[in-house]
Amino acid sequence: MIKVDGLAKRYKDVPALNGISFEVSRGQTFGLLGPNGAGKTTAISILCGLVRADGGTVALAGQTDPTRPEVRRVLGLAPQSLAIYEDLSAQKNLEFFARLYGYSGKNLSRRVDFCLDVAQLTERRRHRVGTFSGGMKRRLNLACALLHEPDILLLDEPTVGVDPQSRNLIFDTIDRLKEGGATILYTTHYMEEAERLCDRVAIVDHGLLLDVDRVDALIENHGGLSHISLELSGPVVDILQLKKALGDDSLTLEDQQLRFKSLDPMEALSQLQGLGLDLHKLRIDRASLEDVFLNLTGRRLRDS
Amino acid sequence: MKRLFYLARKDVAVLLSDKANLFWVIGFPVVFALFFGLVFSSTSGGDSAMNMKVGLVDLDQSVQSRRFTEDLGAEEGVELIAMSMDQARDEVRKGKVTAALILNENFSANDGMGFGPDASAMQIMSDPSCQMQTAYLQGIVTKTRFTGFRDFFTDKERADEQFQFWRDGIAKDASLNPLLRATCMTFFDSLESFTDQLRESEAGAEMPDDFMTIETVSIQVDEDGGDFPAQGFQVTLPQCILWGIIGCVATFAVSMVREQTTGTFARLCVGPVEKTHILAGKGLACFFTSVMVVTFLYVLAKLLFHVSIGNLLYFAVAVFCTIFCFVGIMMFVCTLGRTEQAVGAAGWGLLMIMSMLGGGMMPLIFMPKWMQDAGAISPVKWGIYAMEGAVWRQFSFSEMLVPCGVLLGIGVLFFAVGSTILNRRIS
Repeated sequence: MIKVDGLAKRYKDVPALNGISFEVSRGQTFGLLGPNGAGKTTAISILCGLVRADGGTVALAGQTDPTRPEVRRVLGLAPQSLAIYEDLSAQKNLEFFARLYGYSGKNLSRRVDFCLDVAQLTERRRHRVGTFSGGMKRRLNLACALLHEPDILLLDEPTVGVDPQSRNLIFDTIDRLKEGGATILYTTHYMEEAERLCDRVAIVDHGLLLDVDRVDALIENHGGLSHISLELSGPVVDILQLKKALGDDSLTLEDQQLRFKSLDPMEALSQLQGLGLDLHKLRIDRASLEDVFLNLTGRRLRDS
Repeated sequence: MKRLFYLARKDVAVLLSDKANLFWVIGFPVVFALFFGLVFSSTSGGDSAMNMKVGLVDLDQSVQSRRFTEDLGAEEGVELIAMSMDQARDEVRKGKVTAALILNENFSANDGMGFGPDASAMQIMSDPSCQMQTAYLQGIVTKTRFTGFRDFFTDKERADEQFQFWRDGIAKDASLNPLLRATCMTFFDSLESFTDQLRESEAGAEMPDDFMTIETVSIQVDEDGGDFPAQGFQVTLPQCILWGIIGCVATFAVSMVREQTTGTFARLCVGPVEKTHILAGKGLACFFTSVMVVTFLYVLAKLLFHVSIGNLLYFAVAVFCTIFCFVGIMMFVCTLGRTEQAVGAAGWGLLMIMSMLGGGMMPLIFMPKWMQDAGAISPVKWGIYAMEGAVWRQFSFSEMLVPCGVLLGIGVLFFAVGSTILNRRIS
């Protein structure tokens, strides 16, 4: 449904994209995960024809020119900056954009009502958007992108600056869209969102695509070891024996607290039980996309 | 075409929903028209509301100096305030009075009417920044001198007083020899006899009070071809309309940038709307809004101030051309910056300069010649000129062609430059 091949873009001397390539299948939710300035918005802008690429190609629904009317018809965009008129009411905003897509009469009312319901703004439909909270604006921003029932949705950091309640509402909306078979390209710098929502994730940094895969595969390939912390209640065996059994020289044992790292925590636990250890408390910190990013770039995503 | 209409309608709705915008496009022009309309009405009517404050320093303190200041004080447009020399210098320096008139100790000795050989008998101390007002004061002083001279021949009491003053002077002057003194006395006796005869004659009796006044003839005519009543609001209507249009232009230029800084422009571009449609929609909205504002101002002027329009068709054409021109300027103004603040400031700056040069703030006749010539580059001048032509200048069709043609030309030029820059920026 979406095909990006060798996409490159520079803003004067600053490279924004350095030949990134990926594909998104129909009905898939694809995440572009990276810090601010990684090139996510530039990629979205090129995909929807707002910015011209210096190199590479894009294809949306088989069309290589995103500015063609047939492509625009199937494309929905929720830009990072709020794309709504604050001086108009929520309903007027939706009606205006719906009319541009050719809706009128009952069809228009139906779509507007649906989108207001999706954004959970039905009760505030006649209120000026300027009086809305940040989360409500974000929900309306997303709803405007759904008006014309697009097959492809480009969501550029749709949860920036929203409250937890609105964030969950947006997640629920995206889940419903996924169930409906929409193809979604989702950019974010929140790894939790990428893990929760995306079928596949591309890690981008400084305009480079570092890797692209399913979340679990990325963690498996780049996440590194899980951190396991145990509180033992029974007699403790020799530490050297533990190190040898678990294959971790950095293992520590202090005051009944055992800490070690393992690629396969479950396997390690069964080995410990085999040694006759009595476990009182257990905590496993599995590797996350944060670790993937750390291992791929040498720095943490949150610090970028 | 429908989409263009939807875009324009949305922009009008956005504009009307903001009270600050409403003030700039409707409130401010009305306030402007009211203020200057009242100023022009009061100055063109009988009672002048524009008295010039003039300090008066009477060092002579004679009957003549008092009579002269009484005559001058009775003149319309001058308010005399008695003060000392030091006070006068201070007040002029601070700009509290426009000028100060000094009647020196030798005022009466010089002849008492200001026609004597010593120019220092009467002086005007003026603020260098008020040259026009000083010239106006000189004109009134000269008129008062001639009025005093006329009174000498028509007012016996005054003439007797003056003759007595001269005779006393001759009698007291020890430097005169008896023969010359006797000759002077004989001359004054003859002059007195002549003035008495003149006063009793038909010519003297008919000497009018306003013999120094030059009658003014208005070039304004109404729809029936008769003399137009002096209507200050008729003069200010074109300026008022211009301010309304300028308010629309500034507001829409800022809204155009707001579209770009927020994501709405991106959403429109990704939707089924061409970039040219978006620009045209904005222009159309600006045009519609300006038409609405002008219609509102016209109705207001008609209902409240009974302003008549000389030729309604020409007025409509002039308004159309002016709005077209300023819609083009709006396209250019919104390229002057990349933020709302930058465009707001630069846009108002540019429009203010255009307005200043074009007579939108102050009538061009009050400006220096070079600035009047420079005003030709301002579309404000041509807009006002075209509307004045329709309202009260009674322009013919061919006379309307020049300002309207200039306005259309400027509009096309600015629209082309502005939309080219915008297109390039968006791309």
